[in-house]
Amino acid sequence: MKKRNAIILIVTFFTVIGCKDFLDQKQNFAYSDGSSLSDIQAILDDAEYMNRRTPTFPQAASDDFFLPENAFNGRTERDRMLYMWELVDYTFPNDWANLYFQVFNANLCLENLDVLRPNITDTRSWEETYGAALFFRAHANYWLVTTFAKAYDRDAADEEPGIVIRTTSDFNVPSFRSSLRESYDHIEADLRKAVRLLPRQVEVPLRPSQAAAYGLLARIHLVKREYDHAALFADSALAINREVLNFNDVGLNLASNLPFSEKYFNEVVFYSAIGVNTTSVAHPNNGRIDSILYNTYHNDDLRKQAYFLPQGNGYRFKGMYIESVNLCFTGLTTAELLLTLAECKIRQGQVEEGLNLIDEVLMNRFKYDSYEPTPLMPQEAALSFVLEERRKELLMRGIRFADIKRLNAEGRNIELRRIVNGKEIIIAPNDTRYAMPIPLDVTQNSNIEQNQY
Amino acid sequence: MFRTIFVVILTLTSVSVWAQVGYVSGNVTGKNGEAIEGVSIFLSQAEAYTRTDGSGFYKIEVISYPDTITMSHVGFRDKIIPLREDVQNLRTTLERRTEEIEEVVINTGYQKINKEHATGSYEHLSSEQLNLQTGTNILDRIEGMSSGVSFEPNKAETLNPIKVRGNSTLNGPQDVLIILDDFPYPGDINNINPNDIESITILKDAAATAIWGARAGNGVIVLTSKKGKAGQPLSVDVNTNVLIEMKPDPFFEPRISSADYIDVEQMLYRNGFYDFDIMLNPYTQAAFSPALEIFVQTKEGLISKQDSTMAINSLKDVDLRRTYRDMVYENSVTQRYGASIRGGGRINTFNAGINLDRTMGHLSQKNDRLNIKLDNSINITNSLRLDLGAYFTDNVSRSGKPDMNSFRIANRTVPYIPLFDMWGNELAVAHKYRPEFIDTIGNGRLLDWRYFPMSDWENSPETVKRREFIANVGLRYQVTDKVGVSVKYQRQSQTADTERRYLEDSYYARDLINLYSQIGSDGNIISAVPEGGVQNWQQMDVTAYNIRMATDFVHQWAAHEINIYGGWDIQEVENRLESGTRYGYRIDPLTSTMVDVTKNYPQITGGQGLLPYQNGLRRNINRFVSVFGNASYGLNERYYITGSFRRDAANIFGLSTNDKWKPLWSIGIAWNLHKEHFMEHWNVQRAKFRATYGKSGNVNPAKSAHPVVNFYSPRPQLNYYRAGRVTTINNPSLRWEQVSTLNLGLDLTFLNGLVDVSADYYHKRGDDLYGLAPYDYTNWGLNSTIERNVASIKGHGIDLSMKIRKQWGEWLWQPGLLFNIYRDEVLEYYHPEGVVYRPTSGSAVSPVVGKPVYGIQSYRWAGLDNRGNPQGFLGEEKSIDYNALINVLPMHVDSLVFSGAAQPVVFGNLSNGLHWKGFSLDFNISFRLGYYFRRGGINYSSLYTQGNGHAEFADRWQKEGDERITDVPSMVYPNNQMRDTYYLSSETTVERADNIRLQFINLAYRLKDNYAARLGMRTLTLSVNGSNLGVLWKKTKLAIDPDAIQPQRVFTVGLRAGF
Repeated sequence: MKKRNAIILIVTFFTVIGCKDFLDQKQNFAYSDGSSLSDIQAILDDAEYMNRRTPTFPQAASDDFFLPENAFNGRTERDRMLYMWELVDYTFPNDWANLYFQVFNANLCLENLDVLRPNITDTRSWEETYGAALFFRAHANYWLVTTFAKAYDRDAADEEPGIVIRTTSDFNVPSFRSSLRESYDHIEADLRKAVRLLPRQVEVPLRPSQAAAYGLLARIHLVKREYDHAALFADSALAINREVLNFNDVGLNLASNLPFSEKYFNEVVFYSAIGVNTTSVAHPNNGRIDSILYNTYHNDDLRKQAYFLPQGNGYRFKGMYIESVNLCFTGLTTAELLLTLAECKIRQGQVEEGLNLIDEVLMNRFKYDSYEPTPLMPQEAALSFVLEERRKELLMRGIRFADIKRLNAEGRNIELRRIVNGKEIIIAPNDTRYAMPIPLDVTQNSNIEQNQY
Repeated sequence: MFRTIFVVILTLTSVSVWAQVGYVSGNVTGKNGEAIEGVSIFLSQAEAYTRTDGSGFYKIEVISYPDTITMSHVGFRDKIIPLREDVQNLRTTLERRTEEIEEVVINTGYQKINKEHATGSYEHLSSEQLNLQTGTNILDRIEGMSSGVSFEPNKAETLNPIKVRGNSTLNGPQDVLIILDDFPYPGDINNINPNDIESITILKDAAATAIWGARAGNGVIVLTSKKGKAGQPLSVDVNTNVLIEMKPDPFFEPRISSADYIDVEQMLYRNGFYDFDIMLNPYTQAAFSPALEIFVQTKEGLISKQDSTMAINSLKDVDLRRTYRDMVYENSVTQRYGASIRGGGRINTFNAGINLDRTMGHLSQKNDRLNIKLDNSINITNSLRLDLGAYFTDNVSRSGKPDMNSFRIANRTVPYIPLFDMWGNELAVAHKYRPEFIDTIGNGRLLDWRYFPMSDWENSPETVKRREFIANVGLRYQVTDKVGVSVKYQRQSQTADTERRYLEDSYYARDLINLYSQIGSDGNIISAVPEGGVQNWQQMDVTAYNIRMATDFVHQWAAHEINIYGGWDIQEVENRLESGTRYGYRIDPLTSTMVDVTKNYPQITGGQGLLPYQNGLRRNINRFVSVFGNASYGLNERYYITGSFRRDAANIFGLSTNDKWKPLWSIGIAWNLHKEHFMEHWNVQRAKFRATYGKSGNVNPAKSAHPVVNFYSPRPQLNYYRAGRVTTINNPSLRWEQVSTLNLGLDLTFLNGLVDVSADYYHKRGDDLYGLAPYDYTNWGLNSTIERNVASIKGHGIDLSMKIRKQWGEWLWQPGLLFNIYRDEVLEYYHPEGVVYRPTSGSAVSPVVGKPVYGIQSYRWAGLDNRGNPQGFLGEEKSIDYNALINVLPMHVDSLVFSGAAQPVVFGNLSNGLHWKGFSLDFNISFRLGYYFRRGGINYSSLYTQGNGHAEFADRWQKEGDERITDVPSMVYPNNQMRDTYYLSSETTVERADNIRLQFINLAYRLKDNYAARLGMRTLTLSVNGSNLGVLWKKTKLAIDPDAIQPQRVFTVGLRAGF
């Protein structure tokens, strides 16, 4: 009898051993640990975060628009301070978080790709994914460095604080700011590596391509005022894709409220956007384009009707390559690259070549057969011309802020004026506030130093 | 009818036919010789049954000897008499039950244990206690009946509003574990019919809950369903109830009046607040509120100034709340019918029941619930028993009229929308597009684009069909007289089908068709949306199975008693969800049309968009494995020592197997003092001291080696590809949450059973509790906080329950008191240097050391200034620098004012039962004391942008000097959100929440048994009940309910009959 009892006890208690497989069942079928190649690709394909979270603050701080008085009064306290360039303390959610999330994702993908490497058979996919992760990291860092650090100056770049360079997904590794030079070097290094791995072109410009990496390198060198390099990379990008969207295209209804909602045009080399406004200041519904800027567009210039809608004492911008009037497109286009190249050529003294490049853009912007090629002009005039065309073409693309910074760094004296309830506020060139404040809850929880004001 | 059923069932359950061998007869009397009528007489072998007549006489046939007679009657102790051949006539006296200490058997879900031998803290509720309340949700009937249990109807994070003994975790799972019979119940609690529940046991301390492991940290509620009993005569019970829930009061929430609201709109309009909406209007055609529409038309010169003033004034008289009160809301009526039959013989016991509830709600929504239950237990041999059970639920609900708060125009709540004209005819509501646009667009070729909310609901019903099936099989084998083994298996499946059907005539379908219409060059209309309706469907199912194997060992020798129970169980719960949308949907003939939802289509308003559709897909499998054991040792029936142990594991994502396992344990002692010699001469019937201690814990899914990546289907508007997103970041350095609980208890019954007291003191301590802590989000970025072991808390309290039972002749008086004290405090909370403290409103954990876990803290209040601005203190200076007051000053927690706990510190119930002959009157008063709440107030940001205004707007600062009589800030434009925040989070909006409520009154009459017998019944009870009868007293002077709930009064009339 005793024996029987013992057997029963043993059986009941130990049947449970061997339940390891039982517990290895995946709990949520929509989850994974992101370690397979297709999972990694999916993380990079999260366009909502990877492409559509470029920063709103630089747009809000730029001179692309102004806020009419009642729009200003309707903003929150934080947004009113931002508009007046007085904002210092602000917290999550913000551009900083959005951009570093992209960096985190890129780092996680790079780490998982490194683990995968020895067992991979499809090396081409692996390389492309690796290149894409590097590109996204560089892309986020580009927006970070142009937003939160001062304009690049070769002589001061070692002393000036840059951005936080994160190369790991381990959140226990503390963050600190590197120098401005290290920050740019890091971005460039990622892009140069990415260029060798990425496919030349992609089907939907949400995914990075070689052209995109060259284009971003051109942007980087432009903000560093390294015009030779910028020209080289812009040229390389244009060698892959040089197609400019013709505004005479029958499919476009320029007069409509949102002419470019089809957004993924061949002209777009890499698609990015302000898909979420972290401040309502830059909301195209609130901001107005002043009539001075509006009047610089020629009457035959189709952008005049495609971009603007008269409203009140200004114009509402509607030329964004996106599906909503509340959001802005900030991606890379061939038109931007042509204008970058044109600017570099003119600066290098190749004025005629530069002007031809401008014509190449404007021919696609003017009414069919109405465009007259630009006559030759002196270098300085040509430079002013290309800078004005750059501003007009890239209006409300989020990059004006970086342009103002670099142009002021070379002494162009662009002053920003805000008129708030009858009072004029002037932001002097090279003001310390051109390096945007780092969020309060980041500096409070880390050793990251705040910008000095 | 019931006699027929009775006979049929009797025939079916009689295993074989026996020959009569004799008979026995007798008289049953009370102590004083009075005859007792209606006593059940049951012969076990014969399975024969009869009842005494008016003179207490009975006669019953005997088929074999020896047999046993069981006599039972309500209010008397059962009597069991062995029957031998020589006995033919019996005189029996039954003893009244009055002074008896009931032997309570507790069902822990694993074992049935005698409360006498238990060391843990248990609360037992019988079906009589549960029947004093009439709600359709079984858990609601616990309210006011059990000490240590509090109800918090406003908590969003828990499925059920029940809390057992306060807080033991901050951010871990907060739900009590619900056990139905033997296994955790993963379904919807509303599926369970209260009529099917025999009793409830609440397990409160560590010794009680340890057996249920990791998921029992917040207490366990064990529901035991009705079963047949061996030796119970066949009985049929029927009951019916009508519940009437009074219609809600739309004025309960203090909201801004229509006139004030329109004045605010006028002010905003003058200031250009709506300019952008007006400017954009040609591109959106979006509706304006009725008043704004008039302002705009006046400006455009479409209506005269005079007409405009008149129209505005008439709008000011419209009040949606009045309309709802007078013309929309109805009393909700629930009809309930139930019947059950049960009985038990030597071999077989069974129970079968059917219950039907039909509810018609306040807004004409309907709910029908059908429950069928079957239980059967068969003694295959003397030592082998088979239990079979099945429970079926069918619940269908259908939506009704739109909610009062669903009327929003341009994202703003509008309180003055006219729904009916003065003759009661329904009016169209322009809530999406301007009426002028609807009237002119398409030259009458579009579908009618008007929206009639008070009839459209019939064209867009949402039905939810929930079906649940539970089946279980149990086998128990008594191996020797000491050792038994048992196996139980349960399978459960619940499906919930939700269908929102927008019929062809519904506004939703017409709106979509019109919106996506294009007028061709030939004037014809083509829509991207196919003709017909739209159907949104969702299918959810939960399937679960449980297997349990256990061994028990009972051994008694001399004065010793050992009881060991142990085994293992596994559970799997699988959740699945699928949803989708069908266009061109028609019911008859049943058809639908394919649409391309990935394409942008032009809208007639000028924009373009995708067709709305849902496409959900989800599947989870949760698995649990547990090994458990408990043992008790008793000496002389006086001293008991118990211990329990359990290890739990679950398939938590990304955890290594070692981290999945988690040990829990408890120990306890009990001492039955009343059995000691030294207490012999005291008038104490029961005195028991109990003490237990135990540990439990909790693991966080983020304690994983990998981040958790969540996947999303492609959304054509954003991305063309499947997207993955890291939604939980891996943090292997997280530790387990640990909770330890000490319980000391004393149970006393004295003065010949007159007074019965049970008191428990408990102390809980939670360490390494999880919480969200700010971190440097440079390192991740998706969230600004991250899960960490942030806190330690301790809580302690007293649960006291006292019952008195006093009888004078026919009168019986049973007052009772439940009295609880609960206090907790935060011992540690991670708070980084330089981060400001925020006020708390009691809905979230307040991370302040030394203060209650849920507390109320506020900004200092310095009154209004002479412009009506709320002021705070910067140092001793009054200030309106809100940025400094909110973002700079509160670096130290002392700059905030602490009011007190947001949960009652003292709470309980006072009950009273009075019985006379067949009448009984019970009432129950609840009290909740010693806590605070935030009363809410005017928030101008929310008023301007959302349309949510508070009634106190009328009392706002309006002119200099008002600051002496009001604390309500002035209206300003442009508004500063921080100004609102400061006022709403300041001391001045904190109120005492203490209140006393009349929970219920229950009046019942039980027909005298001989009258009932004449009607062919065993018992007949009529009852009338009123519950949620309102607040008797509250500390705050404001005309609001401190618990911010609006329970409607419910009146019930019921009838219960037994055969």
